[in-house]
Amino acid sequence: MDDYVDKSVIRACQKGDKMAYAVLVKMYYKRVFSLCLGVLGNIHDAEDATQEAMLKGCLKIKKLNEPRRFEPWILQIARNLCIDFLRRQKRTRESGVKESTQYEQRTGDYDDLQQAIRQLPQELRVPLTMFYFDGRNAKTIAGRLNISHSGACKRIRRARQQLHELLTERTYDE
Amino acid sequence: MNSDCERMKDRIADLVTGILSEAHIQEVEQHLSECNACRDYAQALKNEDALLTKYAADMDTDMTSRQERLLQAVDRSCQSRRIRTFSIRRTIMKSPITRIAAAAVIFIACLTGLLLLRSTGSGVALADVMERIEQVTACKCRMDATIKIQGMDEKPVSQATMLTSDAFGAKMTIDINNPLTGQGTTQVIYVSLPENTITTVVPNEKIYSELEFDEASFDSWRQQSDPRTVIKRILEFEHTSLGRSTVDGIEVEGFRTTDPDGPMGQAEVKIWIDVETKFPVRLEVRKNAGNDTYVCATFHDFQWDVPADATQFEPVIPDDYTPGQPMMQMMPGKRPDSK
Repeated sequence: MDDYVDKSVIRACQKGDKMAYAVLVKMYYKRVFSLCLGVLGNIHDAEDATQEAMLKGCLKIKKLNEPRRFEPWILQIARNLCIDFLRRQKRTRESGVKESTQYEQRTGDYDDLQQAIRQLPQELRVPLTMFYFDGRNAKTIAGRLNISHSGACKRIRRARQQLHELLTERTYDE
Repeated sequence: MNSDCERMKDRIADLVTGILSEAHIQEVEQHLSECNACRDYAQALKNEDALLTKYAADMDTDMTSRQERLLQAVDRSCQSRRIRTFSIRRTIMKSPITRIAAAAVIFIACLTGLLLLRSTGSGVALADVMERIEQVTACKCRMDATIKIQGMDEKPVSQATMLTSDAFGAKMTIDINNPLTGQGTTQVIYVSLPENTITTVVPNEKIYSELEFDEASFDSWRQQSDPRTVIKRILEFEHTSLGRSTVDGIEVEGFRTTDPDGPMGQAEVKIWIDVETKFPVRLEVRKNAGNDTYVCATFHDFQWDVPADATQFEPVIPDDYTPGQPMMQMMPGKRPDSK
């Protein structure tokens, strides 16, 4: 864990102290969000998933036996919710219902970038978003994804290279 | 592009991203100075790196509002399930900050006590302070608490006025503000020693609750919280003098120590004693929670040995107020109507 969280903060949360949980929200929101954005590739879905994960964390924190394990615990909750979300999305696609969110979130200057990020495979998109959205630290990402440091660097590199190819293709297409 | 270029592409990507090991940096820079194609490739990656960085930074500006939306959702989620542990009222009452205020009677006695009975060798004899406190049967004070959360400025979180009496109990009026959501509430808490009850009144919501202590839990609480019992324990701790200074125009001597087991857990404590009257003038308790996050409570405006009578401690509950969930969790107990 990168940041030291006094276990009394976790204990206070377990006793229902919502202000203590606000401390955890401040500390971990961005990490959870960057993971969800990496898995889902969509800002609005990532925000929804982050909210759901941290709400679930708030309600289930009593079950957390080791306060020091809060970070992997909350990230696992977020990861599971994202996987469920993708499954639901897949079923929706298969049933022929038009997805409303996939291409609606256009934000001007970043349209091409967002589209290219979404086209990356998930195993590259997750470390890429974690890297750029949460501290540019490959070692930390390795810990959060439970992979080696060299493995994290390799994925970030491949993500950058594939992103470059996708952005270059889009430039030529236009 | 020569045969080295394919091999170099990985390292160029790493260099631009900032993850290339130092051992290879010079080699890559040398290659870039000689190869136009790779230089163009590096420049394109640099531009994309800048775009990604700006994209992340722009999104970061919305992060606070996203967090606030989440905290509001936490509040809403809990309010819809009033029986749950996370009900807003119960949660606020269970916060360490409020517990300080609610337990102030005991807390002040303990924390002043921890510095008592020991000669400081620097002017104020703490044994004298203990003697003065022991003569007091009722006192008033105010408390201001602030919270500092990583990435935010220190903000006020609660203010309280407290009246305590050896004979009758305590009355506390606490204004609590959640600095993240802006949600605020006022609670009036009555601790009745003759009745062994805690009554909490919430004027904003026109509700009240009453808890009665059973004998065993009350004895346990008293054992843990009796100033003399606690003083014996904390006499083991070291304290240091902060020297003479002036607080609210009064000449004082300050002391600092660590209370390992106060109402908020381990906390840093500072106390200033009036050198003339030997009464505490100001008390500061700071609980660090790691990562630039802390709670700080300051007790001040002490009035020692004020007159008190039973009517001041009788709960005032208007007719249109209704019973709510128990809000005060200071000690285990049962509701009077659950007999």
